Amino acid sequence: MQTRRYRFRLGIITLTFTIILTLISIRLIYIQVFQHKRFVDLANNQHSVTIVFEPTRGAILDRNMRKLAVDLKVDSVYAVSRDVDEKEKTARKLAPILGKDKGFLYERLSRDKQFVWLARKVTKEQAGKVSGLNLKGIHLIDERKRFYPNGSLASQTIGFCDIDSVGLEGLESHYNKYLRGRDGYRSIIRDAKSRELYAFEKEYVPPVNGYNLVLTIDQVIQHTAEKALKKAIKKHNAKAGVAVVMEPATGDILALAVEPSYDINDFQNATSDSRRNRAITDYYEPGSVFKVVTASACLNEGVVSLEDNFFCENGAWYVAGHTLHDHRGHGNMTFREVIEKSSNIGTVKAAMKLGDKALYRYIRAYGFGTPTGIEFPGEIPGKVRPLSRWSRYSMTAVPMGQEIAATPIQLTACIAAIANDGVLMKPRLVSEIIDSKGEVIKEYKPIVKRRVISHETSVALKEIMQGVVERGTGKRARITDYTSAGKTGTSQKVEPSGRYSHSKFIASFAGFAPADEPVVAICVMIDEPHPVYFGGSVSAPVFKEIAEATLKYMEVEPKPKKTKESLG
Amino acid sequence: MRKFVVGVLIMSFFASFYVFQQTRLLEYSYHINSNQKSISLLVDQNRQLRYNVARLETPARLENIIIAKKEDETYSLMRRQKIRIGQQRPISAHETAITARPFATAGKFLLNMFSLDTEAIAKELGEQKQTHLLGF
Repeated sequence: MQTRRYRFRLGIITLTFTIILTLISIRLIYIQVFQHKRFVDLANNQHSVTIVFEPTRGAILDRNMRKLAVDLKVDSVYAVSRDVDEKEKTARKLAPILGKDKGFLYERLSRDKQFVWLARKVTKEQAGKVSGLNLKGIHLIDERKRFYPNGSLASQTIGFCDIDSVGLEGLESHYNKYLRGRDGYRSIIRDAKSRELYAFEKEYVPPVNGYNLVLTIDQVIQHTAEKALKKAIKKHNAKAGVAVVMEPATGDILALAVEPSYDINDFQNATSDSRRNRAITDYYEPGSVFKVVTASACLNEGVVSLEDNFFCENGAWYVAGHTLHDHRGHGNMTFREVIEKSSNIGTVKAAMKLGDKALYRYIRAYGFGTPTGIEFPGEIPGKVRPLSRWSRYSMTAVPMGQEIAATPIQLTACIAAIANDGVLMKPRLVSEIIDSKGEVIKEYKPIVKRRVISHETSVALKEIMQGVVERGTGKRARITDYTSAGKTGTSQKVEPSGRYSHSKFIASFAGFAPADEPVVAICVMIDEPHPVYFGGSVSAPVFKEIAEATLKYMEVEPKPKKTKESLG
Repeated sequence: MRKFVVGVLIMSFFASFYVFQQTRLLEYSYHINSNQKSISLLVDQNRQLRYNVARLETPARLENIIIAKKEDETYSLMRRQKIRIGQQRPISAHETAITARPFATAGKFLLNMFSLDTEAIAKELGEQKQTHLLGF
């Protein structure tokens, strides 16, 4: 009896276990076979991760390898919003630290997502405070941010990047493809604590850091130019100003100062006006500075010589239906004196001997009316009316720098061509692109555009321009210990009505130093100075200050002072 | 039976070795991870320091320092000159009278407190500095 009972119980137990094991097996088969893909995906999502490595953006360096823009690591705050339990409390705690609205943070935390940005590229102090709070679901992640050690130095030239390190303006934008680099990534397994297990790495593609950009700009000369320009703008209550320093032999831009400027580290608060690179994107009527173009054309074509006499009509000359004035009445003057004293009448008379076709040809040969080709975004060609559209009056306006508009960079290139024995060089802002080890990736060599005037004409013109500084309108550009040459210019701005303004002027000075063997060509343009507005009074001193400091900095041998004995 | 036991032992050995290997791999992974973080931190610190050097060497900052130093030197020279003048100041008859009277020390102290040259008289210059100042 007992044996039967025992067998019955054993049977029940065996059946129960068989059923349970069968169910487990069915479940196991269901999970392992039918749900295989789903669970593998889930596991992979949890353990496998692909980390993207942001490359280090290349640095921007001056000609002496001094840093103008660098990339540094900063922290960004993100949330795994699903993990955040007390969303409102978390938002309340983070808002004052991150300087964000509590509602904004709460909205972000309420999103049902694995990853939401709360604040990007925060300061070290902010990151420390967030980390100190030890909030659940709130994490820090490394990102790269652009820093500019010099603040506002060469701000319009360097430009800036957006939050994703993409260049938006200036050289940062123009050379973005070289500076940016390429993202890298690593596919690895993570443990339960989200720690990366490098031993189980699936794939690793290292990031390629961006290349470094070496500029032709010199940080010290740039600072000197900016300081001198800023001082003049303040002194003469001007609206804006530009100063370009160029090496005539190579076309290298040593400084490109534009005022008003802005702090690149705080570009969000900069006005669009201060972000504009006026040296390249704005054009002005050059005024009397342009007389050197007319003079060089006349001398090169041999229609006048330095000692040719011109009657300057005692300051007023009725021609082509207009009365042409000189700012001071002159009688007979040699051509040299015409330019030295900046006589409009004398210059127009010389230009008439030359003819409009030849003048137009020289204007174009100097590069006016076409972009210089400088490696910078947004360069404009200036304004030169085609010869077919010149009016009867044009021949009395163009020779003295009216009815024509040029960018300061064009004007500097023109003056540099005269200083460079008549050879026009392409302005160069970037000399080379190098990698982090210093290997040259791309080189930008100086480019000769063309010979505009002969060596003899260039020598004669240098002599005239030296006379402008020694005896003429540009006496305030005279440099101690060195010789200098240049030309002043005061042009009236055009009102919206199309008429020339009697209260708004552009004061300019373009020249080079030392006069006999030029090392630097400098162009200074100051917009709307008042009450003093003459180029000789406003811009010439800026030229002097920049040239003097630059020549000393470049260790150019000072010219021995002329003693009574040496003069005989 | 013996074969079975030996088989199980060999299997167990290989299984244990496999587990040991995996554990070591994990340990090395954590180690690599930590080292990677240290390297990254040091590289970033290096970059940060280089940036700081660049910032400290900006022409604007250096110029300000030079200007400030020049101003300091000028003020310092002005102060020294004042001291020299103070030392050379002859003692007036009024002061001599005070010195001769009772409570002379207290009177001199009060006089010194309200005199512009108090500090100058209090601090005497060394031989060398005086020579330098006379030269200046």
